[in-house]
Amino acid sequence: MKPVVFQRASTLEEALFLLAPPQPEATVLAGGTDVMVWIRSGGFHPARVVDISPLRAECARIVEREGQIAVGALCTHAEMASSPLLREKLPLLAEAAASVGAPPIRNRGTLGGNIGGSSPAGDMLPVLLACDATVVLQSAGETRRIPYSRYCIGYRKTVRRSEELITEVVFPLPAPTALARWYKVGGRRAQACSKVNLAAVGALDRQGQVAFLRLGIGSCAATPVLMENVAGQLVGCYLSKEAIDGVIPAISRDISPIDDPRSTARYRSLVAQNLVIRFLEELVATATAT
Amino acid sequence: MGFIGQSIPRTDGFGKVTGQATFVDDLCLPDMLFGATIRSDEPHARLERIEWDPDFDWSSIVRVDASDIPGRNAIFLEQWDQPALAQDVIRHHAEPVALIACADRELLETARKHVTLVTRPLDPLFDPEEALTSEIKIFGEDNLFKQIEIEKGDAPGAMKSAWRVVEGEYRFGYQEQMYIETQGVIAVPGEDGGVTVHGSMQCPYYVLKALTPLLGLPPEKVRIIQTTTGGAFGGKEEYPSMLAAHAVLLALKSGRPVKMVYDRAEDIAVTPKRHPGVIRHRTGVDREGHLLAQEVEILLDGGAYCTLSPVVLGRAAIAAGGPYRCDNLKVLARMVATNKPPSGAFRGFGGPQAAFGVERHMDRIAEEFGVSPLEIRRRNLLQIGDTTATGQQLKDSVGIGEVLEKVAEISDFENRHRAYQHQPAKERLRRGIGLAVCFHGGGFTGAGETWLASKVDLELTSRGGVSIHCGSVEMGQGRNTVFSQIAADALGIDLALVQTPPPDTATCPDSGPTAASRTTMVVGRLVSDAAENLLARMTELLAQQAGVQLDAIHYGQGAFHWEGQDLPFGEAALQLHESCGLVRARAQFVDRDGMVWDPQTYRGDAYAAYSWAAIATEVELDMDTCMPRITRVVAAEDIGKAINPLSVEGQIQGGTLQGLGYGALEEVKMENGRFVNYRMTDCLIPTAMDVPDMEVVIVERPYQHGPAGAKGLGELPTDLPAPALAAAISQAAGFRFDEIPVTPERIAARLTQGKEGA
Repeated sequence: MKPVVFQRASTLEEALFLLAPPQPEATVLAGGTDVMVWIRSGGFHPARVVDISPLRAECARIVEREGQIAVGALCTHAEMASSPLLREKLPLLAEAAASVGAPPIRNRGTLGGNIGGSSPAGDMLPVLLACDATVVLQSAGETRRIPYSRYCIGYRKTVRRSEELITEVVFPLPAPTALARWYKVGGRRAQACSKVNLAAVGALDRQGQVAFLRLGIGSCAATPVLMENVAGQLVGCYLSKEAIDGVIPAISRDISPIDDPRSTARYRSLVAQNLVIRFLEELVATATAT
Repeated sequence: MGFIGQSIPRTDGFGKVTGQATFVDDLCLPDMLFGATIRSDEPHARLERIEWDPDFDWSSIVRVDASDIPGRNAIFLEQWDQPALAQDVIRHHAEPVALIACADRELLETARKHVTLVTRPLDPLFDPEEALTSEIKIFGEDNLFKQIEIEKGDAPGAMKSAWRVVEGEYRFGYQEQMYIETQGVIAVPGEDGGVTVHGSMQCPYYVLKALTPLLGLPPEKVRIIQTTTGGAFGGKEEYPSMLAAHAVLLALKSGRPVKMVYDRAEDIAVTPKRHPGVIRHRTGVDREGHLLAQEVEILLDGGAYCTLSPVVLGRAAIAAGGPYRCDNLKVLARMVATNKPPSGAFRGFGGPQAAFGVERHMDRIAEEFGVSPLEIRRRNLLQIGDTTATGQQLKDSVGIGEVLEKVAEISDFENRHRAYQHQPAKERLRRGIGLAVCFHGGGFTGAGETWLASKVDLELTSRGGVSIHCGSVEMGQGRNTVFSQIAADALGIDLALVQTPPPDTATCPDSGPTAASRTTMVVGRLVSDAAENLLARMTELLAQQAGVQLDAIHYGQGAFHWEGQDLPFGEAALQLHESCGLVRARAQFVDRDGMVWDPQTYRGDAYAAYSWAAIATEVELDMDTCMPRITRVVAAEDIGKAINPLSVEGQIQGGTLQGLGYGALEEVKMENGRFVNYRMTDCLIPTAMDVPDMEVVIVERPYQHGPAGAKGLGELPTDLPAPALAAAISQAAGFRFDEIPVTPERIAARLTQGKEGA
């Protein structure tokens, strides 16, 4: 087996230098919950690994600024799950983080890692879609800000260039009237990869019409999906029973689930429909109650 | 006042929870190599040759193939069919073909990639239903490992007079044992040409018996020592013989110790699992719902090699009719070969499959009659005086009625079952409740225990106590604690004076395999017998030393008494250990029940004692996700006597959870003869979060020859949750599910049947 070049960056600047050309492409190591498993299981042989875990001082903060919440890429799931700021202002993210894996995974796995790997089943990603979050990519020369809805462009394929590092994710604060829900369906009640996961944010206006609706769904296509057909059909409409039932074809257009060892396309379609409908019904019920 | 019946803490608990217990992978010997297995990538092929890349530097790698085997190339168990290393023909995916060892694990992994198996593919046989008639021959002329026919009365005749005949078909998949510690051994070559194996295992003597013909060595040159074993559940009954064979071949060739510990992926991909298959029932019932005739057909998929499959089939056949009274029964049970990794022992050992079939079928009969699942069972339960499927008359210790009534009462079964029949159809959360009963015979089938002739030795220690020597292992089930309690009470001494060293075939007699729910019931009794023999031996020696008649000494209150003297056991033990050296007493199994058994016809006394269990399982089914949440479980189990009630409760809870997993969660998926979800990420078992509210009731109907009345326990709890859970989910979903696991995917498929686009 060829030796692996292992480099540990102690500052952001150093990390960006190590990733910059003319250096050959490197695999970025943060919590290791993906990379270590890939290497251990024998299928992945990176030539060079750049460990950015010492960058926590720069990249593991959760702060509010200018009406937005910025979450550092090295924040662990455990930190997001227990952050008072997130629990108050962005509980959807905290709740989703708490539903990932088991405590050891949540203590190691990071937000940046979840985005970097962009598994279709990644639990943070539907939340990023539903919250219209922007990924901040830094390289030695520039900083790019890409909405996550344009970030993942294929199965585990993203727009990140090899010299770029995910440093932060910025979430606009949701409207105070919005209803936000996290649904995770795994094989068992905890410590399970998602068969379907759905982050849903929506609100009705004073007339009871859908003011906005953002549904991020995972494990139902090659990438996490923002359900634009559903939103396109419903925004501006009353959520009558007919309108809700009539959304099923739009759901089918938004997703393209497959059979894999974890579940079936048929199951995923059914659950996606049921969860979207459940959210819409909750939206109506909540609006009626207030 | 004694230790039996007390919930004393596990004697092995402290070491395990503090990390002091030494597992095989914790052991490291000087000059040790690591071994790895080269496996087939095809389910069925002719093996032309093994190509060792000539451009690779093999100088630091030890290589072994079938030609290195000094004796017979077979892992002997029931048959000689399974080679230690495939030769000429590959019969299943991931079959071991060659072995390599190296001190450097990285290099070992690299070397693995430089071995090529040159093969010519053969058509594979995957469907067990086609095995008997297939042109593809895996085992013998008809791919039949074993066929068992049981006939009692005249089932076809009685069927004709039945008021109604109910038919049903029940299917079940693989289940993985998923012990926390994966399989592992270290083989150490001896200077005398012999070998010692340290490893995680259930049956040290199985390993010994497999290695001696393989190596062509006499038994005294092969020594097996069990290391702390982190769970087994039957999965370490056969396979350690295979793994030990591999490590030993490498060790003998290299002259160095060789460690082989599987990672999880290899362990799941290659080791035997619970047999999948199908059971078909045809039952004739009279107007009152009594069973007149039962015809049962069992087909189990044994995979490519025989392993313990015939014995599993025997258990399934005997239990096929369930714990019900029926004078006319006909069972046709078959174990067939396919090109898949061999199936094998798993807690329950044919029992869970049989219970799933007959219990779901009883539910079907109840439905057809319009009576409740509880009522149909009440009308047909076995009672004292009745005969079982094999014609065995039940004389005592039959707690089936009591366990069923306890469960019915505590779970409020009738009321809930009725209420859930009438719940609103459109609710998102729907409820259901299911019931099951079963029995499990303790010990080996029929004359098996007489044939095993198990032995246990008790020996005085230099510390004034005793140590228990036998081949039965502690594998997490509580053997050490239970044996200590039994020995301490039999000797009237403190628990701290009893030691339970791990089995070592050089110093421990064969007490039979740690399997078949026999360790407490059969071997525990031998511990108690050996204690009595030890007291007799000590009395004899003390009489000699004191110059008194034997009958002048009597033992009571933990001390020997004679002529005004009182010598406490500990002091006597020290004195005798000092003066006489080794003081050891043995007990050997004798059949006290007068068992009569015909292995050809399966007629007679199948088991010395049966344990009985009933369970009720309640679920809440989320119709959006088709995920059942098990809200409550009530289990009542008649095990004769709870030697350690806390341990018993734990074992019932754990076994129940394993059975619930079998029913609705655990699925080992196979494609083209290979397991596809061979990682814990996708091969799910329940976690603590999936544990329902569980109420356990222990019922004690003693077996007169068990230690303090104890019967078998280990497997019983695993036998019956699956049908009860499937029944509960069926009621909640409004559809009948007769195939397990009842996964959300299966439920979804039924709910959307005929609907397009879903």
